Amino acid sequence: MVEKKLICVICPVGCEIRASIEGGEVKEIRDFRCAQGEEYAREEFTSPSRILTATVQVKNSSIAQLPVRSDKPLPREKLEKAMFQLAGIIMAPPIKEGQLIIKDILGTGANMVASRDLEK
Amino acid sequence: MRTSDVDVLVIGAGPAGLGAAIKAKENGAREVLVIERDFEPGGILNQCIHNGFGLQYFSQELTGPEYAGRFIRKASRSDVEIQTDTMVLAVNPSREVITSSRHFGLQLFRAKSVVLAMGCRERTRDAIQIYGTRPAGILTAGTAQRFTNIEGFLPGKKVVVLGSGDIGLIMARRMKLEGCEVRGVFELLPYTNGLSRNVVQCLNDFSIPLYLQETVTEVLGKDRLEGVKTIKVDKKQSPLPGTERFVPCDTLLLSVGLIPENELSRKAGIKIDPLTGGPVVNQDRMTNIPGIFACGNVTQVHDLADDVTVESEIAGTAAARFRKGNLQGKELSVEAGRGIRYVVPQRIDVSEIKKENPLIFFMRAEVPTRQVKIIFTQEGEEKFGETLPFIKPGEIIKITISPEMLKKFKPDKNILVEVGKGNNNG
Amino acid sequence: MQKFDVVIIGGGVVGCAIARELSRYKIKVAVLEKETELGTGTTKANTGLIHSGFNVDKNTIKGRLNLEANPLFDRLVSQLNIPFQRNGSLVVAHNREDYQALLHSIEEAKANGVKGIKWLNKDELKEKEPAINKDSFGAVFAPSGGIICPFEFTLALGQNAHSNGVVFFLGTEVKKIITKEGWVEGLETSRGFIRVSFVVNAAGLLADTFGEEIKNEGITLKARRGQYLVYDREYPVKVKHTLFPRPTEVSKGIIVTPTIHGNLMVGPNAEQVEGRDALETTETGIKEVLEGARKLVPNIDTSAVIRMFSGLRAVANNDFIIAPAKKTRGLVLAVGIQSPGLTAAPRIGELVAEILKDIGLGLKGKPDFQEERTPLKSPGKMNWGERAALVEKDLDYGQVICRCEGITRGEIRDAILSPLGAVTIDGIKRRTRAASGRCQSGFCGPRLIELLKEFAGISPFEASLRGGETQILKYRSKELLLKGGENIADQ
Repeated sequence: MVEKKLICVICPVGCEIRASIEGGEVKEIRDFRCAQGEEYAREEFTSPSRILTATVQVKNSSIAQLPVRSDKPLPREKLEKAMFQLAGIIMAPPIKEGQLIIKDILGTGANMVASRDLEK
Repeated sequence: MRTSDVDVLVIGAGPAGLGAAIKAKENGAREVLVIERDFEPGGILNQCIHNGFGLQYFSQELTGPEYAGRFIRKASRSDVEIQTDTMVLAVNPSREVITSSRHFGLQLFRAKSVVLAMGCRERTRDAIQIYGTRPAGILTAGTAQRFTNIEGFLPGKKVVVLGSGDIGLIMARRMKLEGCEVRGVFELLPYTNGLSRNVVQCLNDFSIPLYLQETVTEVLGKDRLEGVKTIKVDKKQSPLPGTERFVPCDTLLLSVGLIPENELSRKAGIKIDPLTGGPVVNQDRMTNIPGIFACGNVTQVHDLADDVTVESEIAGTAAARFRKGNLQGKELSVEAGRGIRYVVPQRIDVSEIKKENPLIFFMRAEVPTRQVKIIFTQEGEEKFGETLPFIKPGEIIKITISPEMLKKFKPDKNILVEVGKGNNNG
Repeated sequence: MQKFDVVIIGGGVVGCAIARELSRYKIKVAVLEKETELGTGTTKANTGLIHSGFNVDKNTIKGRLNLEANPLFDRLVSQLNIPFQRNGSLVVAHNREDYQALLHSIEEAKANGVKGIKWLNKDELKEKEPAINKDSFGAVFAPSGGIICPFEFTLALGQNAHSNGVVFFLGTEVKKIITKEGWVEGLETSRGFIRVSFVVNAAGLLADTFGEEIKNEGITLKARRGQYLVYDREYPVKVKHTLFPRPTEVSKGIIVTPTIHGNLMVGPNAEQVEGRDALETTETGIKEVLEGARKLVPNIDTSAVIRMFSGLRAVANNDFIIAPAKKTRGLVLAVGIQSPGLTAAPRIGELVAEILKDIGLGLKGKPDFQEERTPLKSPGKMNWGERAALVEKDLDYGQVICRCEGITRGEIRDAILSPLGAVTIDGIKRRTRAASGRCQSGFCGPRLIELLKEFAGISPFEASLRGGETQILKYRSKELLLKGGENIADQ
């Protein structure tokens, strides 16, 4: 059994939530002040994940970088690896917000998609 | 000079300007024109590629460009005209606006109402007096963000960030994800100025150290930045001798505060609140000059684009309803008292209060405090109070007063907003 | 390389003033400047004052040239088409002792021909300059004192010389003066050998670094550093005149002045420093400047500082050295030009021409000498009608690039394309004021880099603050990742 703690980021209060963890499961969780906080902390303790936002190169355009995002969160430890995949991509306009850039990045089930329209 | 008449002229096509323009259109303004100095609408959101936008307004987590995109598309559907690559040179109290552009030359617009939505700019190295040489490699975080996210360049690879405002935290992560080595974020204060979420997701996630109560005093390097000297400070921000250290780096990013950009406002004779750096406005976001409104970061530096939108909709709605010759009613002032740095709006036009609408007050705390009651008083008498579990300077406080509660206020006495006594400093 | 009659080493205000003066004559003249832009040494970090000549010793060269040069400015600035204002100087007395010393100087100044000089009592002073310390005793008013932009002045002199045939080699470093049988024969430079008959050494802080021939003259230069603060134009603390404390033996003291562009500026202090590139600002220095400034105007704080900088002056002894070299024939020295070098520059130019003539250079006037310099267009200074007409003719003047100072694409284009054009961000800044405002290039920096590429063909990775290793951008986005990310960063 390991004791872990984190600062809740759901609201400005910033509760310091503690939990006892065993075998990747939360056995006991305490010091939260709301249900959302508890839910956030449970996930954060066991399988933290994040939306990845970055850019990819874009050619023949008014801008040099196209913003992209993952359409769902990636496991936190895969964020930096995912960046290496994005580094080799070159896009060209026109591009629509939501357009697929990389499908199922690193086998996470999350797709990288464009996060803006780009006409030229 | 080409001269034209418009109902509502909005200066700035960032989230504030677009929000105001769309609302003005929805509220009956016929010609709504937005003037934007950049090549495309969207404002600073175009370079804020990170997520975290829209949770309140759209109940959905969007990136900056996605948040802006929703307004850009809506503006286009609502027949709002946006003139990009055009700079406003002057605004006068009669609501005449002169613009300059490479496409249309100089133009004069006569507007029934004007909405100021120019946003804010960043404080610089010289503004906070960092001594030393003048090497390349010192940038504000926002400029570095534009280079990295739009122009496709990195200013260096060994990065120190000074200031823990949101842009600083976000750029620390951004540089790290681009393969830079981020040596740390330094913050003069004992707490961060950014959202807790950003501390966790931008620094902790990537093991980027946060050095509180430690600041950069000097930069070294003749042509190129070679490193910074830092020193720890005590609670009064006085340097602690013997705690100096040298941190090698080739890039220093500054996230040391934002300043509302009110050069045009000042020249137009608009009164500026020294506490917010923005125009003094009433609940409709109207300035002291009838028919000139202000919203978004030009009024007060917001933490969230969602709040900018809320404020811009108030201003846009009122701008559409404003009729020339509309006399201002009697106004009372709202002042920041103990524990509160500023309050917006700073004035309430009593005759204009819509009895069906609640009033939203934005304010900032002076210090982080737990379990506080924010009280609204008139002549020392408490008229309204709200208890909050936690307040801190880095996160704006919003207090909504319902029409029923508003009835308790006297129509002719100024209001003082303060932190109730007996709160724990936390 | 071609052969020149005269080569001037150094493209600061002194070198450019000499170049302009020599461009009146039928001779081949070149200016060699180590940096890629003119006026980047002592000239750039200057207070920008045209001194009245109050309190000078007319038995010194610097004193005499100050007195002679001040009256020349009205005509000179109208020829060069640059802004200049005789805003008047006030030398402030804090007590009776100051008062008596200053009264004495007034008499001397009158005898020296300084025009309009007079004593103002406390009330008159207060009326003239409301921001003044109310404990001041009174002040000497010298209406002929003025303000100018040191860089614009230097560039205008350089451009005028250029249009009259002077050749400028920028980014060209002089290594050594080569002589033959005691006569100047040429210069060894970073771009090879240049054959020349007469050399003028106006190299500021580097004037003692060109080999034996200079060492033989027994000149030792020391660097004196002065630090400054510049304020936002919207800063409510303002002065109209240039305010001086009572001067000491060595310095004019810490000054409070408006700049010609309407910013408040304070400084400099005076510190002996080691080496020739100690251009940093320091906590002690800036504090000293603020304390000095507050003695004159107590309300000055740091709330609206937009720029801190420091400059170095080359100090030889207590006076300028403007003379033929003692040991090397054909070499003329214009060194140790500390304050009031900016004021004296036009007269230094004339004096150097006289010396060259004395030592054998034939000077025959050019009938086609153009004394007028065409200024760059400045839409911000026009009325709306003029501005609209200009923009209609040339739409580049319609696009505002620097929002703080309101500088347009057209002005930046002109600054890059005009003779001796800008090749760096600082170069654009000094010519147009773009990037010199309150955001200090935060917004327009990326655009200036694009314009340097568009009009000067400078790649974004070569775009620099001021040449050398001051490039702003180091990598493309993703470049570090493609090279292996962390591994690269760790090297």
